[in-house]
Order: sequence, then structure tokens, then C-alpha cells
Amino acid sequence: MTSPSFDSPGPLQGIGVSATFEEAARLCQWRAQSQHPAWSRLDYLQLGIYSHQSVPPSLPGDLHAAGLDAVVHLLELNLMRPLELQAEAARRLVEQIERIGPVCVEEDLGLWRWGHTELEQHMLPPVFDQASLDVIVDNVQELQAMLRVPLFVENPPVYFVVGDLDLLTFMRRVAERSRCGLVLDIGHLVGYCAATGRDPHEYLDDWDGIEHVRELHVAGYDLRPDSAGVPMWYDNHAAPVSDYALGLVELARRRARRQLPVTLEQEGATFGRIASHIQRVSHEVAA
Amino acid sequence: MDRYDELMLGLYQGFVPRWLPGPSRVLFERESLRRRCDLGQLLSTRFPCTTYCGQALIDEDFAERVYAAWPATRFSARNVVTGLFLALNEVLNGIDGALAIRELLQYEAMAIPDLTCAPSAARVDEATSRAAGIEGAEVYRFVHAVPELHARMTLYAGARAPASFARSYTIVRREAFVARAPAPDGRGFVVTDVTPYLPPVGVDDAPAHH
Repeated sequence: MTSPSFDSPGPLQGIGVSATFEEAARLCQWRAQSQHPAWSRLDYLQLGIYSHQSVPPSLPGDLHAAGLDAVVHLLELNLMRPLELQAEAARRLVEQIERIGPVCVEEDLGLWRWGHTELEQHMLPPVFDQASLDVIVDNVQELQAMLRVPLFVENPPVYFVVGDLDLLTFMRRVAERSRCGLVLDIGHLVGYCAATGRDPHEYLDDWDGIEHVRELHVAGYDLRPDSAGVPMWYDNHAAPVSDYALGLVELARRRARRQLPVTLEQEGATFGRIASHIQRVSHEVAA
Repeated sequence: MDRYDELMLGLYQGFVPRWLPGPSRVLFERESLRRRCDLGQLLSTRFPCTTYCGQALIDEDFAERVYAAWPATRFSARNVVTGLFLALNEVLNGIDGALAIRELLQYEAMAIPDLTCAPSAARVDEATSRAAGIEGAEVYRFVHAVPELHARMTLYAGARAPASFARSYTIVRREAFVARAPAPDGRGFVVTDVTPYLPPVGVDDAPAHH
């Protein structure tokens, strides 16, 4: 099976930041008023949503007035469990998505809700094997049929590995079989490599699935030495983005042969830090 | 139960699923410790006094009992913090003589903004609250002097004081009424000791100590 959209640049362009609904209202205002040079370089906002939330009625108008696109990041669907078990949540999410009118929707592979509990940092990545792949492919195809915009699937944070497939092979197969685009999260990739003793640069450079990537995520992370023999990786979004991570962004863009959009996921960071990262990404990477 | 349930249970209850291959086991064990430390951080930031008392007065590995109880809360808790509250409540409920610490838990829970269930302290009916001049607030009744206990344990927990400090504190068995009202900025709650304003119901003479 060939990639459905290798020659298409994808619906998303430029630089975006993750934001809550409250932050989105403020960022739209700053962008519209050009209060800081960084905000005028912003092209889109990534909005995380739960099915129990309500989209503020003013949000679509604020985005439009600010000239910003929206990306919806789902936070609760378990793509490795049958979607029919989550039908009500999926239906409500689709309603929210239609109110926002994003250019695309994305979700990390993983167990994000266990029973009624939203797991957040306690999520579980999939077992990387054929059985998981089959369920995920069915789910992604079903979700794509429910949405009016493309669905991108993201490599999740990984702290330990189970399964006989490696992460990037697994992601490529998800994209090829379900005909969806991918989000490559640079920090999550570094974490996976730390857990499996791989060199992120070499692993990414050798990956033949890069053509499916439609968006890059960048955030802070920590790597600390550990007695288990491999360093311990911490998903620390608020921390400064490292030069190493930006080097991987450059590599991904070079290998993809296109200016893949970059989303800064900096929840918890100050607006000052986010602004400086927007400028760094736009100067050093987008140039 | 599927393999993801089994992995999750193993991570929080501290066992490695038998089907996990050798190379995965070491990092699974490390991840289990990391996740339980993350729960521990939530315990010590959201329920610092209860956690301190649990470790000082019940068992130095008290937190481990809470981690192990957390998975069962997934059927009723919407978020991790609510799950930890329910797990703490369940663990304390199962320990004879821990009523005062359980009340301390309810008191701490009253101020937590992202708790999606009500504290399980006895609620005073609205007519009684209104008659006492308290409007727009939930009033809860405790059978121990919980505001004083909380104040002292805040001091000890913040200082990581030796367990002997907690052991030497005498918990007073005396009725307390505490009100909580939404904070003016809409984030969280304001908790106020309203004991002087409510008619006493009276407490029995059972021993107060854990």
C-alpha cells in the first residue's frame, strides 16, 4: 500500500503552540494586536480537548480574528482498545471538533482513560505488536470516517517497551495500513531511544516512514543517569527546548523534504519562554 | 481484564506480569517505581497532613498501601487526584482507630479544586446552616478538633518532622464544624472553621487517639 498523501504538504503549516481554551483566548488577542514579535509568527494553536469539556462559543471567532488555524489534540481516546467501547466519548469529541473547526485532529497512541479515570501522565503506551496494530488500524479508519478533517496519529511517550516491533516501524505500519498522517513527537522519540539504547539521530535518519509525517511536536524533557543502565527520560514540557531536539527537527524536515509544521508543546512554561522558543524555531529551524 | 489492565495493575501494585519478556522486566520495574513516586508527589502536595500522619502513626510504608488501592478507584474517579483521595479513604477506613486521620483527609479534601467527588464527612443540612447564618456554603461536621490537628500537622509535615512529633500530639475529640464555599475567583474553595456558630450535636467519650 502506498502513502495516500506523500506529495501533499498537509493541511498544517508553520509554527503552533499548545494552549488551553483560556490561554487560547489570550494568545488570539496578543496575535491580533501584535503585542510581541513572537506572536505574529504564530500560525496555529493546538487545543487539547476532553469530551466532557465545552468549547467556549467565542473561540472560533477569536481564532478567525487572529488569523490562526486550530489543531485539536484528543486527550482521552484509547486507540489500542476497540472504539466501539468508547462510542459516546468519540461522538461527543466529534461534536466539539466541529464547533472548533480545526484543520486537523491528532491523538497519541495509548491508554489515556482507564475505567473512568483520565490518566494524563499515567497513560500507557501500546504493546508494539501485530495484535495492537490491528486494533489501532481499525480505530483510526473508523475515526477518520467520522471526521471531516485529517487525523494524525502521534508516537506516544514510552518509558518501557513491550512488543516485538520497534516504535518507528510500528508507526509506519499504522500510517500505511490506516492511510493516516503521523505526528512525530521529538521528545517522545528521544525517550523511546533512551529506553531502548538507540541513538535518536541514527534511528530517525534510517526511518523509511518519515514520508507519512505531517507535523512535529517539540517540548522540553530531562534525561538523567540511572543505575538501570539506561538513562531515565522525563517528559517535562515546561523545560527549555534543547539544541539537540531542534537538531532532530532539522533532520526530520530534511529527510521529509518539506517544511513540516512545528508545534511547541510547552504547557506550564511562562509565556516569555514560549515566545523565545517561537522565535528560535522560526529563526533557526524554519529558515 | 486485558493485557493493558494487567500492565497497569502491575505498575501500581508492584508486580511484573508473568508474560513480560526478560528484557522488558527491568525497565517495567523502574517505571513502576517512577509512577508510584509520581503518585507520592501528588499525595504529599494535595494531602500532605494525611500522608504525613499515615507514615508517622500507621506505617512508614503507608503510601504503598495507597498506591496499591489506587487502581480500584478507576471505576469511580474521573482524575488521578480523585482516585488518590478515594484510595486514601478506603485504606484509612480499613484501619481500626484511624478515624481522626480519616477526618483529617476529609478536611484536606475540602480545599482541593479538582476533586470531582464530595468529601465523605457528615454534611450539616442546609436549614441548620442557614439558621446559623451561613449561606452559600457546604458545612461538614467532624468529631475531632480537625482544624487544630491540621494546623499542627501542616507544621510537622512541612518540616518533615520525626514521627515521634506526631506520636506525641494528643488528638482532641471535640466537635468541629467546617464550611467550604467557592473561592471568589472561581478556582477552588475557601474553607472556614464555623464551629462557634453551630449548635453542638455532641460526641461520645470514645478514645480519640489512633
